[in-house]
Amino acid sequence: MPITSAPPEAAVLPRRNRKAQRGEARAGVLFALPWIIGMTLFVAIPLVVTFYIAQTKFQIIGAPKWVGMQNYEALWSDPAFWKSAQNTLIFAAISVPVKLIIALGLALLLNRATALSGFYRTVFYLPFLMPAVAGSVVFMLLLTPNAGPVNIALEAMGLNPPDWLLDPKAALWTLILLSLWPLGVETLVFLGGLQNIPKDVSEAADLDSPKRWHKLVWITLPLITPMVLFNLVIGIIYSFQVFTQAIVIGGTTGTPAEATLMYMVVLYRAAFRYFNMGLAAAMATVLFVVVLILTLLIFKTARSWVHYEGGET
Amino acid sequence: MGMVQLSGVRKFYGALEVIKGIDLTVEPGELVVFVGPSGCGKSTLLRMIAGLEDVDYGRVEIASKDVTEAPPAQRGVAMVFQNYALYPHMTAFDNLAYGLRRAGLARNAVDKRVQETAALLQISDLLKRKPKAMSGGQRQRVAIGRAIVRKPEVFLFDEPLSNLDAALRVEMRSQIARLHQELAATMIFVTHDQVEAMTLADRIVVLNAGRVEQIGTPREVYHSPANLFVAGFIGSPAMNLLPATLGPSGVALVSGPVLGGHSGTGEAVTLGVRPDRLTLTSPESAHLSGEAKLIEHLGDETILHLALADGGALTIKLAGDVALTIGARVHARIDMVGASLFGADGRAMRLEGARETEA
Amino acid sequence: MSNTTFAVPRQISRRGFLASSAALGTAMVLPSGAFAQAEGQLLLWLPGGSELFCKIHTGLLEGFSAGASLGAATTVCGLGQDTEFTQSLIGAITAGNPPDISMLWDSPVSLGAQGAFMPLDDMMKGSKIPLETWPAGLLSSCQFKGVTYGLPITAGVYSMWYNEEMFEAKGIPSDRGSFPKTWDEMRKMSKEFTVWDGDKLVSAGFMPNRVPETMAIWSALNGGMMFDETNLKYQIDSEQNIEMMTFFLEWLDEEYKGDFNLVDRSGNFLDGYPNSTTGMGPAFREGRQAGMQSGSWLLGDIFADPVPSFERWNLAANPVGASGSSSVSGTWPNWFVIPVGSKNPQAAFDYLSYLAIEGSVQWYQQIPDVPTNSQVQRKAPAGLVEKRGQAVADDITAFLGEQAAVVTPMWNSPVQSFYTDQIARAVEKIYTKASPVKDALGEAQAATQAELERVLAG
Ligand SMILES: Nc1ncnc2c1ncn2[C@@H]1O[C@H](COP(=O)(O)OP(=O)(O)OP(=O)(O)O)[C@@H](O)[C@H]1O
Ligand SMILES: [Mg+2]
Repeated sequence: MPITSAPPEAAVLPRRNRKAQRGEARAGVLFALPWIIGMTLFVAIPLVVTFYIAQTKFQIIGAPKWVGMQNYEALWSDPAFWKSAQNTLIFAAISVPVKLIIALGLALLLNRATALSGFYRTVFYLPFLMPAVAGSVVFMLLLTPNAGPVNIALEAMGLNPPDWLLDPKAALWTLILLSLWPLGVETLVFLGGLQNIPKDVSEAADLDSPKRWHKLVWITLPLITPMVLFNLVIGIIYSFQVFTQAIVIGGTTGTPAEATLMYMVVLYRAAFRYFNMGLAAAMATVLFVVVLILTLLIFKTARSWVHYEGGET
Repeated sequence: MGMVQLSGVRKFYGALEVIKGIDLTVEPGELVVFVGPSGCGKSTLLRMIAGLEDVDYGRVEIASKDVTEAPPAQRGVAMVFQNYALYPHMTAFDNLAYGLRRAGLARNAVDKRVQETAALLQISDLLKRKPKAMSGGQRQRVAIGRAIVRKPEVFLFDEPLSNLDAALRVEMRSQIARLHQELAATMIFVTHDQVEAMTLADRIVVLNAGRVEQIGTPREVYHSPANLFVAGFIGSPAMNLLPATLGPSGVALVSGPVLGGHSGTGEAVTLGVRPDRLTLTSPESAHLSGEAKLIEHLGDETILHLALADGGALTIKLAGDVALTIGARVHARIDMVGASLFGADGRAMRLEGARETEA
Repeated sequence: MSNTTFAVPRQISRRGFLASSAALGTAMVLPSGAFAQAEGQLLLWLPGGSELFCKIHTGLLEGFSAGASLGAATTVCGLGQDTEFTQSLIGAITAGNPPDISMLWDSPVSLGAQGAFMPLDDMMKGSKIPLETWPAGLLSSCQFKGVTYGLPITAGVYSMWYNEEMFEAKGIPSDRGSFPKTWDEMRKMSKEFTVWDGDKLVSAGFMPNRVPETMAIWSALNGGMMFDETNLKYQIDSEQNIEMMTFFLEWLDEEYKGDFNLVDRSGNFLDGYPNSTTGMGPAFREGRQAGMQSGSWLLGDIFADPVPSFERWNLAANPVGASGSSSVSGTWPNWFVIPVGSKNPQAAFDYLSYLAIEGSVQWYQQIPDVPTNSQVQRKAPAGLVEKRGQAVADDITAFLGEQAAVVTPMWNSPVQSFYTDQIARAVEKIYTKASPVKDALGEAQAATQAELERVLAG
């Protein structure tokens, strides 16, 4: 029997996959298992069920009945769907960036006021302990035309304030204004990012240029882009789902004149007021897809503008 | 190239005074090293020069301009930080170019300056990388590049080499020395490392608890420490400080022997003897005797740590590899040439022997 | 023995805060008592109301259970008023674990038609409360396609309320018989009271209706209807309804500067309660509004804060529109249902019989929700007697009883909430001139009819 000589080692041995050796991979899966199970139970299954219900007629009581694309067709021709989508888009498009800018400004201020920042941080977080419903009611009272304190003050200054939540032309803008409160979480996220910037890096920037805005634009902002991304994505997801304030202020019909009719309100009333779970599920599916696409788009562009501390070159 | 002048500079953190009135002039083109124990205020003083810390009292002048109130970027200083402090989101090129661009330099000029600097520091092939993708030494060179590229009046280094391994440290040390020569720039350098201080410095500033203990050339602070603190701090292994009295016939050690050449009226003094100024001898001619407690064999030299009979300790540095065992009885003789004598107030006294070594 | 459990105790008017409670409800956790279902023990759920309301019902159920030798009864109060109560109830029904009895503040027709509630017709036959003892218009609010899914045990009855003192100050006779009989008369009289100071409405007479829930009453007053139950056809854009909304709109333009916003900036001219959105006080109680339509529940609340600036007010029949022939009334009933899956359906029905005839008398005396069964011997509410004297209280009680007998069907649609929202939308569009009357009603008609057909389809 001829002895076949072994080929040179380098030629046959594959490069070892060091970071994911099999044992490690198994342990990894094991550690991730609770999370995977949780995801499946609380995210994947409801998602699939939603997709399914969206294709049925389901009036909550009784069994769902397959209707194919009927719910989506109904949506397409439902003025409330379009009106609320439009309102929600305007809401998100303005509320999110404005909120981000204000939160960033506040965070920059807080980051400077070192001695008091602990106190202010608490103060900024306090509104979160107030239920959104109560907050909205307070704002409605504050913004009452004529008798409300805000308009009394504005009129005293010689201004001609709008009817805020009562005027169909102003109501959506008022809702956007109200959405800027509270912004403690965004501020805290930014503040966390700012405080994560190494002191010496910030000092190096001070040595490189005397202008504050140089440092802000070229050093500080790029270094907190992960927080900007986070706040942006969360902000978009949340503002697409604006609900509590909208329903407290506008009820289920988006008073006045559907100016405050938001997507989630239409979805909610379809589900729990009209018992039209199929339509509600279809709306949820559309929202899911839109938000997913938006988020993916943002993440795709993020590669070019977000600096990750752990990232490669 | 600028002069740095500090007059009466003080700094408080709350009620705690950490810089207690410092006067110092750094001549143009000079390389001055700040040394001192941890927490003595070296970094604080350096940062006050940079403008990163407020000056509570006193004045800071750079290139004859009062910059006490000026923002860091307008003082004509550049600083190299211990942890490099590179902008993590920028490539090495951008790190170097940032300050130039913000100062409004034209694109071509920026390119040229960055490339020149990179060549000088041999980092040209790193320019496209971000800090994450560089080794510590590479990052340090980029950090130095970022300081150099702006052609400042004064360079400030805060322990720039302390994160590097020994070999790299030596290499970077010589690179900084070379840069100092080539750029003929004024530099202030903070370090813990005696060798760094001794080899780099034109002058050394020894700081202790927010005060200057001595300013002098490396040889001055080594051979003529101004006081007990400097004597004990400079030099490794540290100088032996032996209690003694200064009598009419000379310096009398506590253990008996009298070393001639000086005279006094019986006041208590401290005799400072560098470990290499002690030699082994026979019991009869010994000034001091003790038991070997620890023997460090460093190859070309041997360091003996003795316990003296009176409870004191003595360190002896001997050339070559000396065969001795722990527990051995050792007899040593003091070479008064190069010895220092300190009065009861801790200040150095004039000692003829010491003069001779300087010559 | 009896148990009472409060989820979120709230003391707000029944019509108030519908929207906010919906939002609050999303975070609500049901108390454990809500799931005390057991054979031989009655479990009752109440959507909301004051503490007193809860106490009355707890007491009634307790008394009944003791008399019928049942086990300990449980009353769960304040589960929220609007959609979130429905959510909880649906959840319990689909889980097969519902209460034996539930009060509803929303018509039982929608969910009844879906099979959530037990049909009561068989049990009613030969019981103390057979079909014929209920006002037909009222019972229709629980019926769909001839099946009865619940009972309107008591109801808030809508009628006109007016300030006798304001009438007299203008030299207008203030007795009930002289109250305007037609919309035209009402609108003409209204002008006498309406005073503007620039853009501020200082005082007003009457207002064109803009409450979506009561639009069916005004439609019936004009000889029309919103929903033709027999033919399963909505009639939102019928001639009569277009005429009605046109009349209201012209009235608004003529007397109120065509702008409800100006009205709302001047006070709450909408109902007899402080406005939950603007916090403004009720113009009627402030003596700035001569009259309005309101449900009878205001009888119990009118003496509370803000106390009226006058003493004498009265109730009158709703006036009739140009195309209408006779006055009708409307209601907002307190419905009771027996959810499918109840552990004690017969005992639950017996309790409803008791509540309809005897219990509701005590209830009315403390909280003026009018008992509706024809066999009830109503006694005037104690608070009303105390404030206005026995004679006035008896007169008002008798009047409300008459009105309860002439209610127009208004809660009888399986797509009630959808319809209500569509009406709200159309009314807003009309009054803000975003759409002509015809178009706005036409849109509402098309959408609602489509929704009805979708729900009814197999
Ligand atoms: N922000 C601060 N607040 C209060 N005290 C401070 C602050 N920064 C430094 N100190 C104190 O000032 C003194 C000098 O600190 P500094 O950093 O200058 O010391 P150092 O000589 O550079 O020490 P090391 O060699 O360890 O770097 C120390 O006692 C330190 O505790
Ligand atoms: Mg330091």
